[in-house]
Amino acid sequence: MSRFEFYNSQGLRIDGRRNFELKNFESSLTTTSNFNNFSRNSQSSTTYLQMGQNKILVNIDGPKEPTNSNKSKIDQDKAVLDININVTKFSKVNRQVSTNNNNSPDKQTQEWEFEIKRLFEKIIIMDSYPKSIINIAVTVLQQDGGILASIINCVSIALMNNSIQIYDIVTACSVGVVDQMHYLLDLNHLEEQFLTSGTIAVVGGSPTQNVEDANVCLLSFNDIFPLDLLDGFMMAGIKGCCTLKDIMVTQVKAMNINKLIEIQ
Amino acid sequence: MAKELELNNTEKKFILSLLAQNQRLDGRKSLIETRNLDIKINPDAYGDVYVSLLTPEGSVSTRVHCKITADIVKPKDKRPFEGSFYVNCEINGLTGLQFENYSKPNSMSSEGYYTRFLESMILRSNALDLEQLCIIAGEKVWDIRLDLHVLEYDGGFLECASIACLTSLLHFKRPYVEVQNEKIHKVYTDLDERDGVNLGVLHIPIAVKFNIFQQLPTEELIKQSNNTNPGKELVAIDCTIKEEMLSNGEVLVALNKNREIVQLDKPGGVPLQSYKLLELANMALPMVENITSKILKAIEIDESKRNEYAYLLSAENDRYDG
Amino acid sequence: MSIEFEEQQNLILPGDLLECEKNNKIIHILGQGIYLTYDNMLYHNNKLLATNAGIEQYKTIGSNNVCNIEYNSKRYIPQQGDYVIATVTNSYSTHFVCSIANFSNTVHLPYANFPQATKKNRPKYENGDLVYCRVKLLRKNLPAELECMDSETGNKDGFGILEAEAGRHSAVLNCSLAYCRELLFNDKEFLLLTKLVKNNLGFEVAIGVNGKIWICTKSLTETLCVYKILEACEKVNRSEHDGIIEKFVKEFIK
Repeated sequence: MSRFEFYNSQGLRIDGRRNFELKNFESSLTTTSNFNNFSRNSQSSTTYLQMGQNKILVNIDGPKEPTNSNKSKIDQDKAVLDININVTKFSKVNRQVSTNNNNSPDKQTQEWEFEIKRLFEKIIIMDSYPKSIINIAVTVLQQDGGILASIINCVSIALMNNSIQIYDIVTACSVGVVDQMHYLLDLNHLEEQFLTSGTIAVVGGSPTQNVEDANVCLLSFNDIFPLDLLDGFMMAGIKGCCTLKDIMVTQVKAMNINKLIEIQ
Repeated sequence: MAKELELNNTEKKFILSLLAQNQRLDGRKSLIETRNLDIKINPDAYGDVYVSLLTPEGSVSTRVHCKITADIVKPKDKRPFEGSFYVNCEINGLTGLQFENYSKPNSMSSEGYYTRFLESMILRSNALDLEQLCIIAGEKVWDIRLDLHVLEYDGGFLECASIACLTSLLHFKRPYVEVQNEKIHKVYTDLDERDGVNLGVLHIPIAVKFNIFQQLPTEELIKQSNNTNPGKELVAIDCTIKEEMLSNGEVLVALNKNREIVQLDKPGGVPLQSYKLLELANMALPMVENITSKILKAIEIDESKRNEYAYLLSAENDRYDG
Repeated sequence: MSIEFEEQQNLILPGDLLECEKNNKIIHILGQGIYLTYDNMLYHNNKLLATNAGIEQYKTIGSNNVCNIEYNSKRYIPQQGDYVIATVTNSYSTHFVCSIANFSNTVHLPYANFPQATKKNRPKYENGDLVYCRVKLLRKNLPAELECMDSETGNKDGFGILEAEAGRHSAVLNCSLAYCRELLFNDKEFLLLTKLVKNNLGFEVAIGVNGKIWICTKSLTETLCVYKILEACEKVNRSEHDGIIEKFVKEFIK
């Protein structure tokens, strides 16, 4: 079925990467609000992530007192998470024409919202923010495969940026399988379209950790796939997530130093 | 204004301590025991199925009605050779008062998520052959619509619904269509006149849901991962609604009996070690095999009831036997 | 003075004339499910009619004849003086908000309605705790009010939080309202519960007429056993109770 050679004999993929090579990962904090700007104080700030051709903006608002519209949702003991994902119509190669007129998100986006909400409910220390709401608004500016993983990564950085208490950093990675033997990490949209693929998210992974002990907190897998290959699939994914965490940590550290200098 | 279901502390403690002792509130004797399955097929129609889960005492706890209807429509421009398939799930006040104002357009509830899981389980794995639903390429295809009604709800929705979907897909017969000169000549809607055509079901995926009960607080889980004491979490199958409310993580696995994962989802919840996930996926396999054989048997029994007089019309002759 | 047709059990439907009306008995207090017609302003022509399908019951309390219709319903509607088991769902500066039944209106339990209540001394209940209390007041435009003491004497009188002591296990059973009333009022000397005790099942019990039975025993299996027996006995005749008890006792406690 595939017209492309996804993994050739030299071990290269169609975009020239090796099989376990991740996409270019670049994040930047606080892109819009400015510490000196009084009107846009630091209550909310935006995080931008570029992972290959995926471009994502995450804006976290809160923890704050719920507004009238979602007052009924509040919990006496812990915070409530509210996630909105907006996939822009120009994010893909072809402009998407939406069929519904009221601009409500499509089923796929709703599914992502549900999964991400369930995921971060356990990662954020919700008990420290009783009777409040944390609003996470995600905007997908451009997508090129593995968008769910990119959103999770970006939300993870954004939570750090907004100083919301979390237990550990979550990293996510998409994995694909070629010819039932080669595993590819961090797919692009062509690979995602034609290969069996899934997304895996690990909390608190580190490269030194035993792979079997990694804490998998999200696994989403939508294609038909032999049961016996699941092992290798997860191993590849977890390795990717652990590497990604390293990259993420170094980048956030570098950025934070800059910010601290800026304040002083 | 409908309110949420509430569980009081006494109930929570009781159910959790029962689970810790490998017992269930509804009389099941282990965490990995499923409820009894009952498949009823409406003898007067095709693809009209009632599936219920029975407690050990024999009372119905979850019941789902599934009905398939077929329609001839124009295919989508992108895919002129394929028919369409749509799952519509009705969960409303009839199912339980907690679902009274269920349909919020902008967010997804867990039931909505399960429905989506079911639909993509059937579509993305090609369990239903859509190309077989084509009548005239680019002009006329069959549109298969599956309506799920949850009549009684006490957990186990995903299992029950997936069994109901697959049973009715396997059982349904669409009318035969006669095509002449690239035009539909006649549609034999009366199945007595001419027998219908079965849908092309290529394999039978069955979904199983595992609920995870983690006693340890999350921070301990994440931080102590290197020197863990495994087996701290309880994993239960086919949970009742009370158990579902108490669980803090779930794993949805859809398998078919060819040892293939059709879909695997762990939507957030407590983190789980990777080997545990593997274990769960493997654990689901015998259950899926069991359920598949039950479905096929129910259809076979129904088939033999319908063709009571088949042997009279049969051209087979005893003498040529064997 | 007692009424002779006390023992009769006949099903009555809405709009039917009550038995006591046919026999010209005087009823002083009307219970639930009965309607007094005013088709004629003359006293003697008033008729007692049923509004619910159920079984007529007559009692004599002091010198008053009481009549009510025993019917089964799903949803509990608070009545003044009922003993209920409420769940704390929220707490405010002056009161707890409690729920008596799922999907129903909430009721209030003010801190003032506890024994020895002062402004400083407020009960420390958590959300989700079960409280055994009484419906004190019903008001037209406000939520019903509960109390956790006998308001005349100020005593505790067994009201308060339902909590298993350390080492004991408690459970709560949701059942129909009629079954709870049956266990509380109609069962002569708590026949079913005594039977359980006779089978070496010692347990604490609290029955709320809002369809909740709270039980507490010394071990988990015993709690489950009692839970199962009470659940199973709801659906069968009284004569079959012995068999059910025997079956479950054999199953859980060999």
